[in-house]
Amino acid sequence: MSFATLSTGVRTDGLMFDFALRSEPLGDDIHVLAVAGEIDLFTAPDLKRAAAEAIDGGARRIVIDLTDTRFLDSTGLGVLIGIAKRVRPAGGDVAIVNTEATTASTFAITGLDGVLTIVATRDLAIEELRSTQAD
Amino acid sequence: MRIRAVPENVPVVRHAVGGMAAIRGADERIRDAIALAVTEAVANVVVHAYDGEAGLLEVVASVDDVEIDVVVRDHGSGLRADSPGAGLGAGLRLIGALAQRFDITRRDGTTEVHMAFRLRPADALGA
Repeated sequence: MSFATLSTGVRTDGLMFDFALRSEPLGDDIHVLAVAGEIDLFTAPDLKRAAAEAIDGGARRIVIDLTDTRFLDSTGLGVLIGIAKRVRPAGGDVAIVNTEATTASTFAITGLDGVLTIVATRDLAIEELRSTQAD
Repeated sequence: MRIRAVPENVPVVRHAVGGMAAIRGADERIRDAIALAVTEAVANVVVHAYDGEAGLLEVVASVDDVEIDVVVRDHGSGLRADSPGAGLGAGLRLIGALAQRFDITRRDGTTEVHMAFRLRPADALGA
């Protein structure tokens, strides 16, 4: 399995931040983006960029693994919705991995728990996506 | 706290206010809720208040044994409910759900979002 760590805690401009992103193509147009740390207005663009690169590279079924994500705000939610809007017209989908209580509340308050598939483990997310067939 | 309204200062405010709540004994769940609501208010200032121009963000936080009060202030166009860039217009909904009380005032070119959060669950206060 290959992977690329696209971001770590120090940016090229020298700013420190609590964010790391691992991008893993699994084959069959399935791709995992695993985020550690905090997703907000400052770091969400990195997730958006990584997702765009994966989609441009042919990914249509995308797992966003938030297992190690300690914070997610509405900017991050907007990125998740944006990813779903890009892949769904091509027959793809997004599955979110989350077990963190506050993040679960955030999905519930905004109603996104009814729009996005949210499961407890990465294996379940991959299983969900394998049951959908991209064009 | 009076700082530039730029994305890199969003986590700065979040951690400062979260730290104040932690020192007063707020548990992790409550700190997370405070951090999220404050982040939403601050991010909205960064994205919308100054329309791409430089501007300042002011945060005033005061805490006692029961509550933390947070005011997020800008001198631009203020908080908007229709904020697609900040995520689905969900920021206000989150603030409303997470804060015990909140209100928005706009006067003389200054917009203030005032949020109050209990530091402990209501049952822990004997309420």
